[in-house]
Amino acid sequence: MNDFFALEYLINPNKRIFWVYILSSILITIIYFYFNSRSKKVVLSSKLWLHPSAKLDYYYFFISYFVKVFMLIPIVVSAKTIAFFVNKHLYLQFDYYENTFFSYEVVIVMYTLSLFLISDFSRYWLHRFLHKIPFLWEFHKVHHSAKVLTPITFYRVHPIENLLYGIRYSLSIGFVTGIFIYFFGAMIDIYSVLGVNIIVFVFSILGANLRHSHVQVSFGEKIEKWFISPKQHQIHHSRRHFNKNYGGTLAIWDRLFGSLSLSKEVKILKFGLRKNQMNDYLSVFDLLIKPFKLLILNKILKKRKLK
Amino acid sequence: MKKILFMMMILVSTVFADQTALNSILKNISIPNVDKTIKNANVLKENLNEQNFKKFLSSWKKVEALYFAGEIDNDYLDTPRYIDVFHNLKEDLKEQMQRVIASKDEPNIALFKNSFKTINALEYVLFNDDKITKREKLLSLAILDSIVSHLNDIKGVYTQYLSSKPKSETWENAMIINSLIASTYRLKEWRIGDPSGNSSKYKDNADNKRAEYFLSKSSFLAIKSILDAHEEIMGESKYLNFGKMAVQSGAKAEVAEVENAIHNSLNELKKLKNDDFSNAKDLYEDVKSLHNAYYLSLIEQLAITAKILDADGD
Repeated sequence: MNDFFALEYLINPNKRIFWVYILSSILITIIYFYFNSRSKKVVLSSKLWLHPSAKLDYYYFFISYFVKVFMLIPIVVSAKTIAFFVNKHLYLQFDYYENTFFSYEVVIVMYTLSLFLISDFSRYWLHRFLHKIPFLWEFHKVHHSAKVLTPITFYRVHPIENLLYGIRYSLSIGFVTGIFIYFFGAMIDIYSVLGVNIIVFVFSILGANLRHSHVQVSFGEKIEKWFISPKQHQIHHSRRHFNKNYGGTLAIWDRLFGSLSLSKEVKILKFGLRKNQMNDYLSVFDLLIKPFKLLILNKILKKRKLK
Repeated sequence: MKKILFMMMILVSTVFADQTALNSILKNISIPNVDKTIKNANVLKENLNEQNFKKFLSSWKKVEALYFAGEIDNDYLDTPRYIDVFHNLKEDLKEQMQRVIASKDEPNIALFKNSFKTINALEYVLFNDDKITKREKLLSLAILDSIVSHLNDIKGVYTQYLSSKPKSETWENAMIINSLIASTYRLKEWRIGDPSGNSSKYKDNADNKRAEYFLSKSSFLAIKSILDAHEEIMGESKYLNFGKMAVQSGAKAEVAEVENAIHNSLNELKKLKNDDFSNAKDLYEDVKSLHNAYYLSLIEQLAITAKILDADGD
């Protein structure tokens, strides 16, 4: 329960809206405005921050927390359990392995990188599946139903999607850790800043909160082929480009699997779902229940069609 | 909640808040064991006999079983191999030592290879036949001088660590548990499994000649010393040792499992006589339980706290 309440989210470096990340995003925005004053009016407008969609994000942020804490966390198997399961089976299968080759420092570098890469890769694929598999899309639509983007939109995620991300996390991190424990025993650690993987920390400092905002910060063509910029994620939220830029931090997955879109390729961004769909997501209750209703409805319609 | 990352659990105890387990182990176990080995080496130098050799060997095994200097300072990673080459040498040391004994070169010249200045070489020089010749005595003294010099290096690393800024406790505890796991693996596979025909390499092919100190018939003694060293670091003690620290961190059952396995192994060892490994299957199994208790139970007490930045969606 110590993760609870907005205040905790602001002071915990593991949270996207940790005050340092918010501050760095504000600083980047100020610099951005210096060169691009046109979007200043929109971003600073109360219409944006008090838009019904933004307000819904704020309410949902609190409610969804309870759902996560009391309903999801108890049922998701921990990464630790997976890690020891993997380690135990490697040991029983291949016997003990003693590392005498890699130094402690090298192990830390390898583990830090592996965690980041596997985590980012599995996030890419889960995100892509959420779009491509119709059943999962009904739940992911909740996130895309945001008409305006604020950093809190990050938390507009259906509990089923939270559950899937939790399982993805446990499996991927647990698997990597199990392998590392097998090869390097207890000597595994990561390079971290404030307890956060250093790579994730740097990414967060570099404006991760701007991904859900109207500040169209681009990294430039060359860098955007490697790292997803805030603008690239905004493109993903744009109605016509839902099938682009699934990546979390790295753009290489999108490049490899043909879903990359660079900032320069998209000029106009229109967020949210189609007009006729938007009315399905107007309240906290809608966000939580609508996906189930729509799934049942679709099933009934399908049955009728078949008849 | 979604916290990723792995950090060792084994935290600072409140009772011994002013010191870490490694500091206490170095102070109360490692350095005294090195001192004792140096003392026993000097006693052996004074009087080269079987009893003194066994005393020296016994104390060295304790130092070797809990060797941390290589991890503390990478420059000393190979030091144990300058003292003891069991299972780490491809050439035939006995044949080469016979040539060293037969040669007329000065001991320091004849003993030009590191492996010639090890306890294994010393064993050959002292026990290849019933008599210790003048030449063998000179060689033995030179070997012991070399070993004492390395032991002083080890002591220097430990002493230096105690007086300098320590590394993280996470690292220290990880290093200790990795050393214990590696030590029990070698004990199980190399020192018991190979001569008794229980290791995967020599399955059902027992041969006492593969024992660590076959010539001096000190292999069981060496095994006992290694188990005693594990008892020192895991068992009851007045000072903070690894077992005590792990218990205070919540790993009571796991430590009890380790202790039980050590005691079973020691009891089983008592039943075996004359360095004969032909009936050592039970000992092998007991030490295997000890290795598993470290590897599969105690290591799981590492606190793995998932710490990753919000991964709720995107």
